[in-house]
Amino acid sequence: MKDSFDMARFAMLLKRDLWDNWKKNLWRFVGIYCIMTLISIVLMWHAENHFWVYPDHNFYNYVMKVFTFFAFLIPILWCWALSSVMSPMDTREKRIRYLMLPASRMEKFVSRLLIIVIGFWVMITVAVLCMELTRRLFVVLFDYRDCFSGNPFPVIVSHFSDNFLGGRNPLSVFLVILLGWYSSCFLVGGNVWYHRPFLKTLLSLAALSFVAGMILVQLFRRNIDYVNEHLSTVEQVTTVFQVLSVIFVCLILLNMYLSYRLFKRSHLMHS
Amino acid sequence: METAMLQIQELSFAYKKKHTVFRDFSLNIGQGKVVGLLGKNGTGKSTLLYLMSGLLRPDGGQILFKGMDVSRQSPKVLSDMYLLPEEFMLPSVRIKEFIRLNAPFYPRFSEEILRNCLRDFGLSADIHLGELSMGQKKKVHMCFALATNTSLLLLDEPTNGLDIPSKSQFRKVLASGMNDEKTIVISTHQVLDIDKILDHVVIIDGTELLLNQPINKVLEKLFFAEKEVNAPVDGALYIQPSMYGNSVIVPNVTGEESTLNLELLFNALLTEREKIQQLFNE
Repeated sequence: MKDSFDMARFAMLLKRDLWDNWKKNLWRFVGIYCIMTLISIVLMWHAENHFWVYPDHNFYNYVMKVFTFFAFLIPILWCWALSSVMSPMDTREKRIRYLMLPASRMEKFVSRLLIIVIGFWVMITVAVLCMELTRRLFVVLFDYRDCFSGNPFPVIVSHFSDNFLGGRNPLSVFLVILLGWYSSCFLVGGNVWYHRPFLKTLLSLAALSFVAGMILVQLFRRNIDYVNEHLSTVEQVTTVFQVLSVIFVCLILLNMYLSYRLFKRSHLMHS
Repeated sequence: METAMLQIQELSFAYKKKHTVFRDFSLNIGQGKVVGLLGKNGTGKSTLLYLMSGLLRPDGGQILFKGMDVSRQSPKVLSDMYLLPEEFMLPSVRIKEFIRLNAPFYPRFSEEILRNCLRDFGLSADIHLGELSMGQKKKVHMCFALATNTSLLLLDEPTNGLDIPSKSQFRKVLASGMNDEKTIVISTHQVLDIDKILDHVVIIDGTELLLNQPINKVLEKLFFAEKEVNAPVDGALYIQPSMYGNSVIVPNVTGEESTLNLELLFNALLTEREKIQQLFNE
């Protein structure tokens, strides 16, 4: 077996992690499913019972409302999931058990990252499918209007295609990358703080964002003439967003590297 | 020359700048021994075990296990050592599942040793870990630790939480699992639980190594006796009142055999360290 990274040992790590935490993951899935279903059902009930107030309400508007809620909920859950990347290290006893496991730090880090990333999106996908099945059951059981029997997925896909795919909107691409960078900060936070990492990272990012925002505003005010001269055309603005996107992609990779380095240097004593 | 399985070279470690636990501490632990690591509370016994297993990184010096630096925590090193900490956590699964998921990480894992050990402790392989008491979990964990068949086994207060019958079972299980290629280091202050199974004793106090000797050499140099209250105790290195009179340690000039009293030796070293250390340096 190779010392730094061995596939057989990596597979054993994944299997062990999944079995050790299956109950916790199941409850997380149930929690996500319940929240999503509640949002979906409540919005559908509201749309059904206020149809005479909002005659233009239709299935598309209902789906967009649900999508908007999920567009806020899912990134928060994603950041929370990333911050829990080192949950096997959150108590002293768990730290001993995990650090003494005969696997390299690289294998342990990659296995946790894989489980969190893939596990989260599998959980979300299955929760969304279960939510949709539940919603359709409600439509049938409680005799909702026929328009609610439609399939929401093509509506969301076409909305996404128009606005994000094809690279026609560099601002949207940059915002997605910026969100990716924000979430990668939770990965770093999860390796800095083992106890309450989500809250601590959130507060740190809020403070950082406030300070960065103040600095940017000051810079903008002092260089407004330069901005007016060099960012007056669509092409110039597009170039700026493209450059910023590349920078933030590099920052995402840097965060991932930092996270690994922090984990590699971790030991039993942790503040 | 004896092969040193574990070499601790000029180890320095402090939790915070003001709390130095070890300073230029050196120790070699050979192969095929059961080593007792004794010391007062807070002298760094558990810390030394964590340093030996690479869970803590030393501020100075290094610890080598079979020539490899333990602080790198390479899989090769980790698969050949096992630490049973004083407080631990086991997942809420059946023992069979626990073995299935964790045994593959230890190439020399022995199902036979595990079965025998569980049987000796009166435990079944079919029970759920979540339903066990702390003492029972400790027994299961100990069985797993022995079954890993690692060259180095580090036990931190292994008899804490065990009932009286289990303590004697522990000694039996440990003795049956021992061979020339294995070294077991037991850190404890419950000396009466382990004195019968030790080959070697290491006693630490603060940053100092008070004693690092095989048991047979201790008995070669020192004579342990129980004397009546008014009996003469000329030349005694250390005297301690006991139930029957006085427990004494005298230099073993006649080469007579005596029974090791580890508690007495420990107390003697804390108060008369120079006198006793001088005997071993001669």
